[in-house]
Amino acid sequence: MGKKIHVSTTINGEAVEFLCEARQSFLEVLRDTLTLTGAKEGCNNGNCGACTVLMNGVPVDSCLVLAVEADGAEFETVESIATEEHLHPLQECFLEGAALQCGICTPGFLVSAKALLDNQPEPTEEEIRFELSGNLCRCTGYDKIVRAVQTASERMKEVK
Amino acid sequence: MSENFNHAQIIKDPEDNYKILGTRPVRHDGVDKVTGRAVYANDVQLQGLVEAAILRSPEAHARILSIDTSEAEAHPGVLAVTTSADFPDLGDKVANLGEGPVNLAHLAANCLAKDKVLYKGHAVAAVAAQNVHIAREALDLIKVEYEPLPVITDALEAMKDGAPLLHEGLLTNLVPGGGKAETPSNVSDHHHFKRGDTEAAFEAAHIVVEREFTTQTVHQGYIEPHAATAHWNQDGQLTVWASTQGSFSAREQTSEVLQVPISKVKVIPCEIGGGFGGKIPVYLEPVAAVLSRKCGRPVKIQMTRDGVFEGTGPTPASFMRIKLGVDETGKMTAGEAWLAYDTGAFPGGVIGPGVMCVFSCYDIEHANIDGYDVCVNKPWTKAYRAPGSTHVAYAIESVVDELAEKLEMDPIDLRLLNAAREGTKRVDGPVYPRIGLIETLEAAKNHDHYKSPLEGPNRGRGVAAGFWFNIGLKSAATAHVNADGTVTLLEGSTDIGGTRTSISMQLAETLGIAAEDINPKVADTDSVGYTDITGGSRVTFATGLAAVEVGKDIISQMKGRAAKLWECEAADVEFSDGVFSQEDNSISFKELCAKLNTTGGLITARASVDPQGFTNGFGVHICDLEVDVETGKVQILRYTALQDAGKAIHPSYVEGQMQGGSVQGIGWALNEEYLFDEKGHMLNPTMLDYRMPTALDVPMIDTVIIEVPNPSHPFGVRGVGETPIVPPPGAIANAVKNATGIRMTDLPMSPPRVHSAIMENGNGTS
Amino acid sequence: MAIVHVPPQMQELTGGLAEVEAEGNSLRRLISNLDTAYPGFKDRLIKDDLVAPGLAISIDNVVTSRGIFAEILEDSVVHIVPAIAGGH
Repeated sequence: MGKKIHVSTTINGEAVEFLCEARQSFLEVLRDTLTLTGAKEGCNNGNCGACTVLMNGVPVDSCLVLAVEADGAEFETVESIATEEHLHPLQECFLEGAALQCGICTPGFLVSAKALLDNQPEPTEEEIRFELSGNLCRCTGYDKIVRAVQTASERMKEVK
Repeated sequence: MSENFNHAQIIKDPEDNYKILGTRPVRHDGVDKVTGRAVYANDVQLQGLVEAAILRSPEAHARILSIDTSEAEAHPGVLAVTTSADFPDLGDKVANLGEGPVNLAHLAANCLAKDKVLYKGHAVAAVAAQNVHIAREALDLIKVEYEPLPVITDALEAMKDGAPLLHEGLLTNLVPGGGKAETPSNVSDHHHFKRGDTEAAFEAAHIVVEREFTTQTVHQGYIEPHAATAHWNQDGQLTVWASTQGSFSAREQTSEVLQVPISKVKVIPCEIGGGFGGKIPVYLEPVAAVLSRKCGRPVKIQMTRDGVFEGTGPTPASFMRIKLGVDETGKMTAGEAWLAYDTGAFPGGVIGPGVMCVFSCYDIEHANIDGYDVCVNKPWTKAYRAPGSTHVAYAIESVVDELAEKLEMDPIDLRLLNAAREGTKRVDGPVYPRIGLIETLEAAKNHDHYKSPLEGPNRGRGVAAGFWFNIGLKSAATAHVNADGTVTLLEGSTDIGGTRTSISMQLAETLGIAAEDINPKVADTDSVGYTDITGGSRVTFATGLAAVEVGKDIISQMKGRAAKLWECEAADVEFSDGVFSQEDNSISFKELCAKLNTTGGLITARASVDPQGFTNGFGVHICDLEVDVETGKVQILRYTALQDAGKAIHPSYVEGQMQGGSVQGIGWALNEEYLFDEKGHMLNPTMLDYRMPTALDVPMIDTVIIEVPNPSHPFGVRGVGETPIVPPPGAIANAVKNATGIRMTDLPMSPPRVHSAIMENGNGTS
Repeated sequence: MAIVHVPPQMQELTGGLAEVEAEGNSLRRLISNLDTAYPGFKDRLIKDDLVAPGLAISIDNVVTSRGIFAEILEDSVVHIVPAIAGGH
């Protein structure tokens, strides 16, 4: 097991420090140590995308990031997408468009979709499907998820 | 409107004039689920919580000679170790657990193996420790001595005389009503139905098609692994936080496996990350409970993903032989089906629904069906969305398509000619009430998708129909009317896909108030009346019915209050559209709520229902696809699902069920399968290698909702959740045939299979 | 008299008859009367006062959850079918 390692990182704009074992994933620390349970564990080997977070602006499977690798990095999780008062347009569109059923994959999809729209505000259907193909959903068949992202993109364009 | 969530075309019943039903409110639990705040089973945090891990068998069939846990127990950080020795002896007890009888010895031996392991991944022992890493280290220290036994994974092989027996002394149940066979075998059930004279009818038929089909084991593939937390208090009270499709069922199963009184067990349902039938049986709850009793702390177990694939119940692999005869006009005259499904390690699979579904879309006078459930060394199969129906629909719909081709008839016309309708007598006996298959077929035939041309090489279009029952079962609900005109609704149905809202909408419609004025809560087993599982497409139907009954009770009580205000008889108070009235007096629901406190106090209402029987759901799917003849890869180009929903309460979630079921069916048809080596080891227990559809694999799924009201529900609701998985493999196989000239009789139609079929048959283009 | 459809697996008890008539205003009475006429009928259908595992009873085309207490009408039609729930 060895000694615990000290890690300094930034999560959702806040400076955070934690102690972890070398074998712990960042997902495990997020959920169990920091009680940010929005990121979900679906497979723990990088295949389902339910644990997606942004690491230095890039979507990653947090189950594949070692907690020690978090040192010095900046993270955004699903918990940071809404403001204190308002849901993000993606969240609104997921709800209005019924883009979730059981909801377990939703945090990962929202984080991946936000990364997509941050970089490419008007993606085509093909681009949306490509960028979201690392996130598995077993309930919706993806139709309503893709449409929610399309609608959010339109809404965000109108606001600008 | 620039925004387009692309709502389904809805073919409404002309009498329909509902105010709330058919609208699309935001689900009540929505904000929690898009902000990451919703609490799923693995999100449960408790004081003193410890974690556990499961030791699984490396052998697919072996006798357990000994288990030595002493080193694991001594490992630093380990708090408790358990094996089946800690479970009570259950003998041959069978318990009736709401949705059906369960052999408790089998249920317990599947949670932790007793004497024998029956499949690779069978749970053998469990360790609770300070954290899951320590627990896993300790698993490596448990010494299990196995005596390997011959492994059998194929149902047809397992049926042969002299095949190694999984359960010595297993006597086949002859169903229905036939007692037991005399000689032990691996066949747990033999279902048989017969009517008329199939031999003569086949003899007289104009065209007869006979084909054999196989399908492989597939998994429900929910994204959330099974997880459970248990705390066995010093007073003997056991609390379980579970990811389950039925908290009352989980309570009964846990109580029976551990032989503790049901009143000592409370199950708190967490949000559930998908189930599709796979989260009805308990796997972890009794194990976590025993560990908690041993170490005095709450114990959480979450399965690993390979544990989910190897240790929980997928749907069976199958072998099917179908023979169907038609006369010159295309009328089906005779049908024969011989079906063998593997149940996996223990008896009791889904062959029953298989035999009842195989001819359920058609009116066939002479029919003969034999179906077998066969034990093999694979995980114990469990329900998966319309369990048993997708297999047979793939087979029968392929044969119907071939008949249409031989008759030179449009495939929908052939189905219309033979479609089951009100009054059709099913092969298993009962007669259909009002059903909507004809309307659904007609809507498919008139759909733009079906009428538009499909051009280009290696492209084909296919159609298929599908059927599933809706079960009734028991549901309860309690409501508290608040002074501000809102209603708090307690119900016991795990919400897998928006049912809090579809149930609330039915109460809102009854009370004439907005859906947002209902505040639904899924309550634990101590806080709401008995409610059966979320399954069988029953929740919106049956728990919805409980909500309607609650609404009627509220109205009746509130009429009494209005009568007090107006000094009249309650019987003279009328209620309609959310307004109470009597002669010149009238008061809205909300206004009267504000007066409840001064007219006798706030109101509580409750209802418990047990609707009799089940109704029926039919769907028809149309699929266009293109086959890459170089690689064998099938690309779905366009897909339309049509279904009779009775009445779509929240159309978005009905569409969602149809789209999600379609894509699960597409995965089953094209890629998903358990691959086993000769030792019975699953070769692909990851979500990379067990290849479920991604967003990039499928197109948009268009939907058409047909509303033929169900006569046995006040709003005409039919269950919609399961039927949509049934037609896709048949529709896709028929489209592949039209694209390539090749009829694929084995699932999945994966690139290697399609490619080698093309190689064998020449470069067939349509 | 109610009409009871006898599934093929039970027809050895009725001498090959696929349809029999019987009296009884509840499923319990109906089956008890059938057992008198065709010994063994009850054993096949009822275990510990419950409909036997794996079976369901359809009365007038509706599968009942009332078990042996289900009401039978003078002109009821009864079918014996497999239970839908998978797994037992």
